[in-house]
Amino acid sequence: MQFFGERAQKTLILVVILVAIALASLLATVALAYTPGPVVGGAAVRGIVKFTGPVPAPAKLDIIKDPEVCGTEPKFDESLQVGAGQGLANVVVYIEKIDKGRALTTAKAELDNRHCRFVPHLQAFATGTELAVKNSDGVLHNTHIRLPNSDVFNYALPEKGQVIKKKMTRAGLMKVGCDAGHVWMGAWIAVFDHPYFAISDKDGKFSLADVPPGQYNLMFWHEKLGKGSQQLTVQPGAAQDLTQVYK
Amino acid sequence: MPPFLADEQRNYKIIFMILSVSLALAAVWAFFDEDVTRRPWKQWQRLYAQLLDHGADQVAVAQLVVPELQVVDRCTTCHAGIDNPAMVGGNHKVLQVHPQRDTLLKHHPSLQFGCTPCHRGQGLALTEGTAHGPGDPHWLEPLLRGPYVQASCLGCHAATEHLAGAEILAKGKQLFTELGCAGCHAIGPEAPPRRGPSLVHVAQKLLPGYMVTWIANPEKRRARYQMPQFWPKAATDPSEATRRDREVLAIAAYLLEKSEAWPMASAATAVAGERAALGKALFDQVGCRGCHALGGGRDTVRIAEPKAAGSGDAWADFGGNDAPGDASPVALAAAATIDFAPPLGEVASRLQPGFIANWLRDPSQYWREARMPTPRLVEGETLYIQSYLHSVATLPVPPTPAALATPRDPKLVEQGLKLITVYGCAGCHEIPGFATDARPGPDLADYGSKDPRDMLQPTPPPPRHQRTWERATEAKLLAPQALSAGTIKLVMPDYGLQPEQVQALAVFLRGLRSQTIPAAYRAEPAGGQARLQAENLIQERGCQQCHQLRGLNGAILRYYEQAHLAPPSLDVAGKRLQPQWMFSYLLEPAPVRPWLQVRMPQFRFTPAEAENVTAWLAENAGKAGGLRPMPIHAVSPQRAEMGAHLFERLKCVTCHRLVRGDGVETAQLAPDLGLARQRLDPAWVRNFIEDPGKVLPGTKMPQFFPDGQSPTPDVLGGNVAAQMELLVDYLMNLGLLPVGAEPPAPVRKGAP
Repeated sequence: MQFFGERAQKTLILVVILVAIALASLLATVALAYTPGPVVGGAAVRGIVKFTGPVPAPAKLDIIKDPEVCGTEPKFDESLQVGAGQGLANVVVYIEKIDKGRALTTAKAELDNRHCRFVPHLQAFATGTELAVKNSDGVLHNTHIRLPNSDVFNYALPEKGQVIKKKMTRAGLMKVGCDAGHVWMGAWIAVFDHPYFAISDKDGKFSLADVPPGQYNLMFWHEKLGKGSQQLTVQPGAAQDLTQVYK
Repeated sequence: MPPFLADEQRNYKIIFMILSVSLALAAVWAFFDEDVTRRPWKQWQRLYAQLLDHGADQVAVAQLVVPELQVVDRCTTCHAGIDNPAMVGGNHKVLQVHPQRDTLLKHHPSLQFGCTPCHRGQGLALTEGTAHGPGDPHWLEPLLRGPYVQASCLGCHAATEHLAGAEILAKGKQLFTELGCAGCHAIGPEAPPRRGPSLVHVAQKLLPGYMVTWIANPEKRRARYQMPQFWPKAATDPSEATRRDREVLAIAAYLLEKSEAWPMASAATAVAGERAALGKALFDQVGCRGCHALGGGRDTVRIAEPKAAGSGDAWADFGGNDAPGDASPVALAAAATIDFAPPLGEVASRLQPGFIANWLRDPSQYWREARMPTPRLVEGETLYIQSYLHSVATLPVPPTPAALATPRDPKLVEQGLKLITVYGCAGCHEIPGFATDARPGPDLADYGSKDPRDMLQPTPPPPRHQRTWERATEAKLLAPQALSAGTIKLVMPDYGLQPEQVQALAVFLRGLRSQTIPAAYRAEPAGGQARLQAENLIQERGCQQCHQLRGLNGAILRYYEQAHLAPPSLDVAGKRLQPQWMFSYLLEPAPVRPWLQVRMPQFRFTPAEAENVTAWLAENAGKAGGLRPMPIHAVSPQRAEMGAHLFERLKCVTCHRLVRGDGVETAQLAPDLGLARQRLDPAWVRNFIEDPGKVLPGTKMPQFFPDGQSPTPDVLGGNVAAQMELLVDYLMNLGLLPVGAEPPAPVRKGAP
């Protein structure tokens, strides 16, 4: 007669399976995570992003709340900004799935609520950066930062000059909004777990320093124009200049 | 001649001698026939003693006597290990412990229940064949096998919904209700409501051309609550098809002829144009889609917030977003079915043009027992939705058969009356001229004890020993029309049941017996009938079609991109709301979030129903105490003043409106806090203020005290806990304490 319970056997098997799954996922995470180290033969990747299509006049934002604080001067949509030589500003440029290279730099970042706009409209930084959320207006703002499937945080800033600091640990493209009736307020934050990213300046220029030799996908993202990409081959010590065109 | 045979009684003596010898022979024959020498039960007992490692000196017939149930069971004579937890596994099934002994025998101790009240069989018998049934053709209660033993639970348990181990029985009972079996077959004194729609005003609802196709061949448009098939689907014999068409026409003629006038408030039958576009917006957003789909691939709606200028829309294009791990509630699997109610994509080919607008005003005006709630639309909106539903249809409007146009042939109508009687249409539908409590089919109260020899067998009939109750019942439910043979014509329609549904239904029917159970043995459901009624209502009215409940999402949530635009979770509502407020809201919903497009319909609950549902939702949220008002912590004028100050400093009125009569701007962003005192549970409010996103994922309410820091360090020494308590106190007294006025007497004293 069998006195050793069938249930005990089943539990044992289940535990073994779960442990195996846990180990496998741990390995997978380790393999994908970015590991910083010394870079040999690193090269600079510079470039310019251009927009060759017709540039529409920016839409005027409808300031429907708190005009006495938000300001009566007209506000315009900040998404599409084209500078000298068709240079496209505010494009996030980054290397996709890079798993080793130089160490992350975690400078301090700020997101200000000023005259009912988020300043800056777009920023990028590395995980571990401390973001200071600030309210320079005398009205209630809330800074609601979201990833596509979840909230990062949603802080209320009722006091003028109030600052809340938060260390940003998750990577991804975050959308910022204000729910306190300021529906026109919008901003973006791109957080990376590696240092190979940049934002194109007002003339569309960007540069990535000290990229280890190898083959990569260089990615471009613009809030209105979407994504683009380029094959990137970095030879030891050979800096290169690229052009990416949005039409 | 021997002397004792010499007298005049010689003949009698010879007869007596022959009889004596026969008796002796019969005794010897019986001795061998009954297998007294071997006695299998003795072997089981010896083996059991061996396994337990003690001598076989206790071999004897074991007997359980339960006088209350008139039971004398000798089953344990062979099944000696039935109550011994050590008897697990091994080669001898006969000696094994009862499956699920810990629950089943714990609640039904063998000394109180015996064996046969649950398992049936012949308790006094001592051989397998006679005890279990088939060995004794005169014993009409054979052992219940497999899932059929669950049928016995029905004898004592008033409710089987939450009975562990009786899942198949519960499913069968639910099917019996949902399919409307009770419309034709009584199983008890109470008459449940009819399952099918009322046909009292059918001429104003259905197109005659559609009626005839539907009656002849009801489409399987959705999984539940479906009209069954009365005539064979594929009529092989052309005369069969002709007969069917003639009968259907007669039935439709009667229904149309006797249809009573329904006062329609609006005769508008507008169909296309701008109204249809407005109707689409309403149909997509007010909540119709919680229960209804259009069907035919027309259900790809996305409900999202309007995008703010400058926010861009290329979010999904970004490649570096972290893996989807913490999905929003909207992305969870939907629990409720999309076909809860009929699909509405083709109503133009079914319904009279003005029906929808009038039906939507209040479905109970057309059909008293309509399950559809009143959608709380205003007059124009009902017309827009009607226009929209007529505009999306792709099927042509069927022509009216000549025989159904007025004036109709009285003979045809007369024939329809007879056919409706024969087929028992009034079992499911309210029909003019038919008694409201008619039960056309046979009474099933004692069906579970029926002798299989009296039951119809499938053709060709199975071998005699296989003609069991179970086989006959399953065959009948699976294909009722196949049992019609010769002069016996079965009118029971075909419900198109799957084999597992058939079995579940048969298990339930097996449990239907008219027996008297002593009061001490009757078991009431946990939580009582009130809880069961609440659960039935929640299921039947489709609360989960729109609301998340018990962690499972409603069907409508699939259409929403942002959770805060969708109907709120009932798991959260149970915690958030005061039961009394929930109760009044269920009876008479009033909008709390003016920015929501989706509307809570009016379910026409009776106060008792609303009370039971409220109590259930509160209990589900871990609250005891039913509908008693929640204790409100009264505050002093000084504290109220301080609360008002903090409330102002935190600028809560930026989004929340306060109906205080002091002219505070009303916002469309957050619920009216003037309702807080009656509406919100103070403990929930405190948790919500502390971390809104944790309590209500997807909420727009921001966190005012992240990391335990207050934005107003000068109030109450910057103590966050004290500030939150002050806010709750202030909110819960709002409306009681108008700023600058005398404090009124507290409503109710309670714990702080």
